[in-house]
Amino acid sequence: MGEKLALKQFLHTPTEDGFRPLFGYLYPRLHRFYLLQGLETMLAEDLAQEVLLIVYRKAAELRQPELFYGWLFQIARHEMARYWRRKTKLELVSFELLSAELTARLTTELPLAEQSRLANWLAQLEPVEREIVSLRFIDELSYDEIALALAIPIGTVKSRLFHVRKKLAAIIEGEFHRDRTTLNQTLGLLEKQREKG
Amino acid sequence: MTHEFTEKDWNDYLDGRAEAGTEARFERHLSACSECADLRRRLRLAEGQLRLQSGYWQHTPVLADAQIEAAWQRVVTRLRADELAPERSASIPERLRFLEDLLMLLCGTRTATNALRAAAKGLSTDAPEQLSRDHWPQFLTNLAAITTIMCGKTGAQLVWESGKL
Ligand SMILES: [Zn+2]
Repeated sequence: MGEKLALKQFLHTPTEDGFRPLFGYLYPRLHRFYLLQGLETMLAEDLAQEVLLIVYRKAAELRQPELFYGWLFQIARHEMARYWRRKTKLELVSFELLSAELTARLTTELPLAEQSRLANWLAQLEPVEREIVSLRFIDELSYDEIALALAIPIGTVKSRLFHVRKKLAAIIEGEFHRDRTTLNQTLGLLEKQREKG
Repeated sequence: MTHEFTEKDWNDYLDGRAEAGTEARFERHLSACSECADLRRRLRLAEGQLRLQSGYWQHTPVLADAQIEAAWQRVVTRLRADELAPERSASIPERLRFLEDLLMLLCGTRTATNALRAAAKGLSTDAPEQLSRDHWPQFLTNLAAITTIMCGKTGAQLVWESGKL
């Protein structure tokens, strides 16, 4: 069963049996989202489970089924903030504060970091920027859904995304430049060795 | 604002979703302004890279099927525990019955009975059903600790949260 059909089935029949196929799609999605925000894999799993419990319990309250993924990630962000509040014992936590600790981990603890340059790029962004890139490019949410998930107007989503696109372009260019320099240096060394030999 | 365009205009244009009039204005401006044309070139290059890497994440499973199944079992256990749960501020016998059902679900019948007895040991009485409200918090703390050892952290958390009077 495809994800769309699984979602349709669950919203129509929000029972345990109806939830299982959808769970198979949403759980890896949420886990991946949390990993890309810089959380460790165990924590990502715990939070993804929390989110899906809420989804199951509150499915009947969903007003606009066409914005399901916006709602899903709204809960996901809320749970991440709640976790952080519990952890820091602060009353109010802005996502910006997550930055330092999580960014440091992102490049080292992701299971796929070696194979994925995306994680490195995201690590150089602010948490709010990271979220918007994940939602738009990896989970491919519509602008309406992103607006719901981030609780900001669509115009703000678009201007924020443009800002992030520019920032990413600079990061990616910088990386290419470094790669090229390293390559040239290596080639230069090889050339010298060949001349000597 | 970059020259005559807002960030929102730019974003729509890059998505290929600018309105016809705006799109035409972009094309006119970009053919005359090398700065903006360069920006467009860099943004498109970056976007291509970003889509390539995103595709990798979309199509490479991070979790094994067994991990997803295990997560499903944990979630289902909690959903069923919800259905068992009596209203808050229930009496001690009611709360005990609930905890026993929950523990049976989590770690089997014998473990459930043993855990309840062990948690009550040393408090006012060894029989859990004779516990007083004063002893309940300590009993619950003990039970959560025992559950951690016998059936894991998730179960213990559940006992702790749903056992409060
Ligand atoms: Zn220009």
